[in-house]
Amino acid sequence: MSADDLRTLIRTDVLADEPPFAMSGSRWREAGARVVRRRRRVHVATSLVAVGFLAGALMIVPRLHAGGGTDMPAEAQRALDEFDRGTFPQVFDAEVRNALGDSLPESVEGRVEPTLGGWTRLRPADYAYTDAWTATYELSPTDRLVVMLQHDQSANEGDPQRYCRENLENGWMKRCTARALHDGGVAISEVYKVRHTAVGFRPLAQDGPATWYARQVYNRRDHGFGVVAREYVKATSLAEADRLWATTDAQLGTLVASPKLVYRMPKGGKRSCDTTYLLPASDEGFARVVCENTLN
Amino acid sequence: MESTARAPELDDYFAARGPALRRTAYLILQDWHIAEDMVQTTFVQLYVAWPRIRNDLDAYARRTLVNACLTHLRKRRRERLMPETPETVAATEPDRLDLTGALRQLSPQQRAVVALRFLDDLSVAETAAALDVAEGTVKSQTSRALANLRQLLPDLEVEEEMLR
Repeated sequence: MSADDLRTLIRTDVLADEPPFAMSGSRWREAGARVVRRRRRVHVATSLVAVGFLAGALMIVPRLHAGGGTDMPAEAQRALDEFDRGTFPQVFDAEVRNALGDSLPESVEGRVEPTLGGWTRLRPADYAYTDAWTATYELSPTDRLVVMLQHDQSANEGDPQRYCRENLENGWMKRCTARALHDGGVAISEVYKVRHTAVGFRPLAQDGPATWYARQVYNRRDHGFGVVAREYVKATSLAEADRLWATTDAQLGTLVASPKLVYRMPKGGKRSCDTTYLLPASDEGFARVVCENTLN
Repeated sequence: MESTARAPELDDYFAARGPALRRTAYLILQDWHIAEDMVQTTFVQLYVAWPRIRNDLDAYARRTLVNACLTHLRKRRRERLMPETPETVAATEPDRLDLTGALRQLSPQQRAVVALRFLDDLSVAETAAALDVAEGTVKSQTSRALANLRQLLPDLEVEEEMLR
């Protein structure tokens, strides 16, 4: 096969599914104009703000050194101060078992490990690249529990009510409710269809045949931190799934609200190169970290 | 005033190059909706940077688009979910979708190289400029991508001249 043959093959493949080009220029034009206007305003305001900012920083920095950020609850801050990578799996596992009680039998062993983005497993040697922690429990071959902790400075941005409304309207979710928490965070409870594949669970569009259902409670904390507790059950209908859940919404809600479920991000300067991650062929495998600058 | 002046010129460029940029984004992302989002993101940046890039628009647009796509994939690593399993694909449309399935198995960077070289028909140097990497990196990524495609599609026999 020549280069031209491959080009033809790829173009045929792309063009075969191409939907009509109905994009409007108004969206990017308006967004671009907003950015330009904002930059001009910022440019003018910057010089005025600089003096005030410097003065403010001189007052705030000593407070941060003394007591940490003001948004972090005291108990969570204490857990963070005591964080130890070596013992955290036991802390994490104990919190999960405390919250779930008998719903998580002692005989079920969990796998608790740092991950990339909550899903991708990296070898222990690549710990510096991880940015999340994940606990997985195989309750049975047809029932799996996953708990993910993830730092995310944008975790509590956006309107959770709108998030639910849009996902219910477009059919991606069967149920979705959002409620404000006392600590300023938000808990979102969702149920949606998924399919289990070699590389993990995948959400399904409205009309896809369901073989599994997922139910999760997502705690978006006000201090830039997210915790997701999710159970998957094998079921062909929502009614069947509702009969099979091993956990309750209340248990998952308690679990994701635990102040002990916080962790420190790994230290190290390994992120300086343009990394890419070669994903494993299965969800049990480890991804490979590749530094693009070294591929020559 | 400057903002209103840049819009008509960019409008023309959008009408002329929008579909092709969307195809490039699709090949990298494997999702038409996200591809459209990335094209929108790209044009917002083109609009903002217009005064300094108008003489080198194509290269800037490609580079911005590919960066947006790769950044999107990095951020959404495991949330970027394949709409079909390879088995399902093979069972439904064996002739055409084998290539689709194989492309999805490539790393995002390799798909970007394939998109720029075999869809957009760029040279190694142009691809390197669009990806902001060395030409050697493009060659090695092309070689790896083709090796992976050969492995996934045994019928695909690729001549070595493609690597140059």
